[in-house]
This record gives sequence, structure tokens and C-alpha cells, in this order.
Amino acid sequence: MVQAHKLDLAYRSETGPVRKSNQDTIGTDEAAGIVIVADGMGGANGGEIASQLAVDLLMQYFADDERNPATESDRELQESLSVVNNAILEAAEQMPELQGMGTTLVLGMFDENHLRYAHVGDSRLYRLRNGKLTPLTRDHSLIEDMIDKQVFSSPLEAIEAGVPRNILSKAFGTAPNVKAEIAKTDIMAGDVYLFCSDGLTSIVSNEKIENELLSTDKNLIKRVDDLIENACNNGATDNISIVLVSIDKAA
Amino acid sequence: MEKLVVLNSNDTLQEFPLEQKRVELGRDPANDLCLGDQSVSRHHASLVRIYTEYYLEDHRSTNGTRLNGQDIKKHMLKNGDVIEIGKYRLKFKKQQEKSDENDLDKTVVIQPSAPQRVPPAKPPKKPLTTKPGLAFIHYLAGPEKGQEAKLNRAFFTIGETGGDLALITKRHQGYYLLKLGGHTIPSVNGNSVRAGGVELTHGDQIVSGERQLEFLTGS
Repeated sequence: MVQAHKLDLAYRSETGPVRKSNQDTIGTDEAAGIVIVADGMGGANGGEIASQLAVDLLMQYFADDERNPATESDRELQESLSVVNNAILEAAEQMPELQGMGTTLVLGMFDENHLRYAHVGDSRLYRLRNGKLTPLTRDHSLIEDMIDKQVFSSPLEAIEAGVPRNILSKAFGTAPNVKAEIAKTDIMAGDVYLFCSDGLTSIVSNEKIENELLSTDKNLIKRVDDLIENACNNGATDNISIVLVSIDKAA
Repeated sequence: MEKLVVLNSNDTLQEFPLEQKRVELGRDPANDLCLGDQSVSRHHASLVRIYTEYYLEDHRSTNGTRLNGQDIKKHMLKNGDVIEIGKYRLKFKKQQEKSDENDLDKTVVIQPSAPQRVPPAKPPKKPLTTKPGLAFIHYLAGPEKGQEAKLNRAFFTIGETGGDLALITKRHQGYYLLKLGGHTIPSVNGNSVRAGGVELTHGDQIVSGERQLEFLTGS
């Protein structure tokens, strides 16, 4: 049985109390079911440019009527994403002061019954289902690589042992060939999806995020605002970007 | 390169450069760094490199391993850390990149290989269909006033980093104008560029910050 779903979406990107500029970029298209959060890095405005370029190029692709991002193959999606990587590299080549700029990215593409998603770096996607928050992405970071190598058993243990959080093993624009991780999942009425930059997750615990998402007495944008406020009030040093998507039964 | 400096030893060895991925420390002569004192276990601890970082691991030694005075089982090392193994005190030294010192907020990406000159972007064939025809821009106002430029690259930027920056990309069968940076949104024929960019046609008037340009196609 095909069950159609309806998306409700809220988002906000905040510079935060410490940084001078916002290097995060959010892209959304509610009608097309597209969500992107990109977290740029690099000096001389490089971070802003890298994340904006990534989001602009992808939004432009998905605006193309001939393309159906929800059904195209992983290879096709990977090729589209490699355009983003090449664009950042090429922009940096044209403007030497931007050398070293890059961006993380988490991208979601909803159709009526599925969510396809891709990510690079430490921007994340979570799902709240049946009252429980589950990460759907795993960071491309030194912490996760050390867990893979069985040096540590959990991110918490790694952080307590002094592993820096700011070292990524992958980001767009930092090497000629950067592959995103692509996956697909079903969606159900009642699900809430959280797309965010590490400005949220490095400060606010998963438990607190879960509690906030569970407060269904608040509308979505209020929950976004409260999460950002929570991060800002607890020592956020980075930009914070959040997109919440709630899945409802189609009327 | 990283090295260990022995702080309180009368032995001849004063410095030990960390050249290997894994360096074993202990009293046994088979260790990479042999610390010949009864206070040291035979296979006491090791240093392991992962990408550009090192961590210290104690091998259930009798007297334990301390890092800056704290007993540890496994811990990352940073420049200046002092490791205590038995009666030995070893300082971990790491050459810092100029501006990276202790900036834990700055995101760093591990380079899989040495940074290299980037080859020109090769966009995949599928998403970019047929090649668009020749196009030019003619600068009408701004620092490049009077100049003409051929759009012969996949990405052509207008403006300066740090200021208003726009980008013309060759995509599909045409050219698109995107905002790349800065505070003002570029416009085409008086209309602001929306997210995702605007397709350009012959004769379009572009304004990006202080620059005015005309987009021209054909030879």
C-alpha cells in the first residue's frame, strides 16, 4: 500500500555569540522535499563561499525538472555532488586567498515514502521516531575513524581521552576526489528529521535534543529556536544551523 | 616531525624522533625506545600515530603511565605534554602549523596526501548536457570598466573575495549567475538573483556590488 506523506519544515541558521560571520548555509525546497545544511571552513570568507557555492549549485540541480533526485542512481547523485567538490576547488584556484576552503554537507531528499540522504564531514542527520532519537549519519572525523580502528569504543570515550573534535577526514573542496556517503530510509507519519551543523551537536547532548524534539506542544520553528538558544546559552562557539522536518499523514 | 625529549636522564639519548607509525616503549631491549630502569615495565607503553596525531597507550604496566601528572590508559598527545614512565619524564614535541596553535574551533581536514595543485574541474558528462555556445561579459562599470572577458571556464567569478562576489557557471545548455559572497545580492535586468541562480541570455544587464556588466553570446 502506498501511503503518501506531507512534510512540514522549519529552519534557522545563527552566527552564534562568538564568531564574526556565519559560514553555514541552509538550502530548502519544501515542495520538492529538499534539505541541505553545509558548514564551511577556511579563512578570508572562504568558508562562507564554499558552503554557499555548494548549496546554490545543488539547489540549482534539484530545480531542474528533468531530474528526479529521489530516484536517480547513487552514481548519478555522486556525480552531481562531485560537481560541488570541483566547483569549490576551481573557485579556490581562481582566487588563491581562498585556497583551503571547504565545506561539510548533509543533504536530504524526501519523496512520498522515503528519505534519501548524503553527507560529508560532521554535519548530521537524526531521526526521532517513537520517542527515540537516532543518528542516521556518522561523521567523517578523526573521532569516528579512531572508533573504526577500535582505539576507542564511543565518541564520548574518545573526547574524554583528548581526541580533538575539529579534525575531519572528509570535506568538499579539500581534495580532488571526495565521495559522499549516500543512504536511503523509509519515512513514517510522526517522524521528525533533524539536519544540523556541528555547532548544535558539539554543545547540546543527544538527550537534550531528543527532549526538545519531543515537546510536541510547541510548533516546529519554536523547537528550532529553543535548540539554538540552548546551544547559545551553553557555550556555543560555532555557527549553528538547524532544519527540522516533520512527517505527517497526507490529508 | 614529532619527537620525545628525555627530560631527566643521564643517558646519552636526549631526543627521540618519532618516525614510525607505532613506537614501543619499555625496559626490554626489543622496544623502539628502551628505557632501562627497573621502574619501567618490559613492555610499558606505546605511541601510535593516526593521521597527523599521536596517542599514548599504557600496556597494563606495573607502575602505570602518567600524562601531565594524571594516570592514563589511552590519551591523545599535544605539543608540550609530559609523559612519565617509571623514573623517566619525556616531553612530547610537535611542530605546530603557524596559525593553528590551540585553535580548537577551527575545523581541520586531514589531507589524504600532500596538498597538490588542483587539476581543472572536470564536470561529469551526465548532469551537464551539451556544451553551451560562446559567451562574453563586457564590464560597463567598476574596476574592470571597458574590459571584455571570454567565459571559457566552467566557473567565472565576478568581483573580489571579501567583497561582493558573483559567479557565472556554464551548466546545462546555458550560463547561470550565482551569488558567491558579500552583502548585496547581484541582479539581472534589475531582478535580484534568487537562490539557485538565474539563467543568462544575450544582452542581460548584470549588477554585482559596484560592478555592472553586460552578458553577450555569440562570436
